[in-house]
Amino acid sequence: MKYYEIECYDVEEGVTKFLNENKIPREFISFEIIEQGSKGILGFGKKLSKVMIKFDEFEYLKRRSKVVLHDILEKAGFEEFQIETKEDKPRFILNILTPDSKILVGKFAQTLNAIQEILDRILNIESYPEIEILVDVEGYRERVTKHLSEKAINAVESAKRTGKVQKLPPMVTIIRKDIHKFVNEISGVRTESSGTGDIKTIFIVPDKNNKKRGENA
Amino acid sequence: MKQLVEFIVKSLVDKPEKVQVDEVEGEKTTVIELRVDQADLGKVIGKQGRTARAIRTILGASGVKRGKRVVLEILE
Repeated sequence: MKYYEIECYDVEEGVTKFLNENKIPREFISFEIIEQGSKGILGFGKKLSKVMIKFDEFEYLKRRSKVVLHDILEKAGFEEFQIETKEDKPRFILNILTPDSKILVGKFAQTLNAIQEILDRILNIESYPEIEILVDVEGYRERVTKHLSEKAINAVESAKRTGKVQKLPPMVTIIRKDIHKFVNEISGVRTESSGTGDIKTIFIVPDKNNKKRGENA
Repeated sequence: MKQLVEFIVKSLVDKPEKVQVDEVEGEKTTVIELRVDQADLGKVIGKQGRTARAIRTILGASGVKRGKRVVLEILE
């Protein structure tokens, strides 16, 4: 939930203006007047009203993401697909079910990565740091992340045992992000990535002094 | 193809009315020419060209589905 405070002479006008400026549909907000202003008499005694606007950004993003994803797929020429949604607040997963899953995942999952990238940009997801809207195709992302997490655990063990940097297979941004997060929650190692473009390689770097780093376990 | 680019780009920019998409269809390849307002160019290209690359990748997938090669040209 996001809260905004606005000041205006006419509450209805002020709220409408706010919604237009922020491109938010009215159905996702509610508001209350915290300080009643006054329109005054003959221009005297005019006082601004203070209005608190409550914006349900999660519901809004849920709706908008599904509509946008649907439009992209349809306009890209895909006809047979269904979008199955799963809510796990603050996460919202849009799983595309389709016989065209191979095309939509793409080589190295680059197409899925691109769909996520475009959806993020269209939703302007950076403005909602606590919410995650994830696109998946036939549960691909979940499967691969799980598989690579297991690989990462082995690599972490090796890194700690040998003190040497370990390399993971190349991954696209969306998968890499999850693996970075996963590995960085384990103490005694940190991650680095190298490469250019969508696909980069993660390196697992053991800490020189494990004890010092152990505190963020 | 044209519709896809138009939809994505118009959703990204501040001035959707300035978005112009032209489709030049060849036998095997379709060239899509995109023009946007100068101020919106950064939005379409993105950090290190990420957004432009993502649009091209989605177009590529759409091309696979339709059995066509698609090239996106962003014109200034």
